[in-house]
Amino acid sequence: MLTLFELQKKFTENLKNQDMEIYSFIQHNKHMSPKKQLAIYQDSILSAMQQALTRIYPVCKKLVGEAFFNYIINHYIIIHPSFSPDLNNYGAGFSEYLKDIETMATLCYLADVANFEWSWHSLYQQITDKKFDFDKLRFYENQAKNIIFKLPRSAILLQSIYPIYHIFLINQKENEDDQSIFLQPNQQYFYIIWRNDLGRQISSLNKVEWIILTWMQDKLSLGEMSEKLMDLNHEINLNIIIPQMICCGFIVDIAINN
Amino acid sequence: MDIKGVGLGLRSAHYSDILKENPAIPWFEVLADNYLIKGSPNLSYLEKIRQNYPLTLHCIGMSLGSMDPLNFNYLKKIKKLIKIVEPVLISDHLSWTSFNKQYFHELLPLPFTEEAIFHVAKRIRQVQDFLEQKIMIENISSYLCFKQSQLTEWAFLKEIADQADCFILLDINNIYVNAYNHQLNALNYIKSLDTNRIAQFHLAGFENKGYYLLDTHGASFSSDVLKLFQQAIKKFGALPTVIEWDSHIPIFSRLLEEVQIAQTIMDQYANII
Repeated sequence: MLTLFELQKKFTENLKNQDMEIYSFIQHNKHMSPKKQLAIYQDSILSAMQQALTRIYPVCKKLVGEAFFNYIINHYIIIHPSFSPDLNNYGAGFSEYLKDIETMATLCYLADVANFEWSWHSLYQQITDKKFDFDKLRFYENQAKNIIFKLPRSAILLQSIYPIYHIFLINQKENEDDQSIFLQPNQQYFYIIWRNDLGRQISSLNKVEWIILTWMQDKLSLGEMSEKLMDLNHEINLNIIIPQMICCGFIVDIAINN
Repeated sequence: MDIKGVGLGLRSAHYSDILKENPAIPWFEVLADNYLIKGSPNLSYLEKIRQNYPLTLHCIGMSLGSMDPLNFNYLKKIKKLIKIVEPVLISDHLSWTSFNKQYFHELLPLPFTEEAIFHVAKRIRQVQDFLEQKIMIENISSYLCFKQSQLTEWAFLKEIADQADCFILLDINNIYVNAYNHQLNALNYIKSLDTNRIAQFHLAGFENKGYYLLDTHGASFSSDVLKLFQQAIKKFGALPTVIEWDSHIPIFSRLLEEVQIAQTIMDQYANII
């Protein structure tokens, strides 16, 4: 007789690598061998994880086709177990995994699209922040240089050399438009995505806006950003660009950097 | 707060129907794991629905039968959700879903042994102490039995509930599925389950795979399951009952029809002894 620990160990070893030791501890059923009975669990576990990845990465699936997508995710599932009780957290490393697949070279943008889809998916379980309180600006008027700006807690800044949002959009189910995209050499694309009320928001950014937002994420004060900006681009005026960012919802709060 | 009659498993596809039409459902059972993030849209909807309906919480992540340590990060989130929605009851399954920190997202079966009873009952008591309330444990569907089992499934269920001093959420569909899969008599399960700890029933649908029944929650409850439900009501009384769907979820009006069917049976059989 196995202890409960030994039984769970052998059971899960069978789930992972078809280890047969557990078979002798399972009752024979009139219709199914222990192998077939265990296969019901293997199929169910695989199916749950396949469905999770298919739900999170619909555009990747469309780009590579169902058969190849299933082939990729089955391999991914084998080498990447789930370590969270919440299946919504499964698949975070799929983008990195795609980068390492040599046959993906012809679909060079796929890993970045996957990263976009994961970020987009993860927003669903994020917090919505309150709207910016303009009274706070007046309150900190005399300490302007020390102000730090807070992005929505859900905000994710993305960059890619491929137009990943465009690729994402034209591969939505309902989109019947021309699906051609011409990849431009030496281009860079920048985005911010965040949760707003009950919806998900995305905005394309130019490079300077993206840099400023990354500084804000790094908690640089207004004074520090002004200095750094002098080296980067003399034409950008933070007094203009920051109110615009507040109006767009990129900034939701301020504080004083002590 | 008390709940009576036939309630429904709350699914996101029906939020707008519920909020717009305020249907005459006595309460909803909520899959707790979908509402663990404060400020998330799911929780916003849930809080709105909670204003008009009592709720019960149904968990899948406690992994009560696992040899892993209890996941207190998960339990802390459940406790926070309890404070927000003040559920009437909380439940999880008599199974294990994780081992060596890996989660399988499947309700895995336990051997019906003294060791398992001691282990699971101890963990349920720990969970109840942490959550500061009794929970319900649900009998699961299974596709295999272990040779080393020393008790029947119903004796195992009863013994754990007694040792843990917890309630039982009796899934009628799971009894039917297990009876088919393990060549048992489903009626005998109901007759032999001698306990006053049952607090709720579950009804759901399965898929017939030929040699076995798969508990999919993706079909209407079968007429055989309803017959078993009648017997359960006759024996245990008209306990609160939930209809569960997890796949191929139908439109809300069809669920209301199912509620009506189950409620009629409950009303008919509640007073037959």
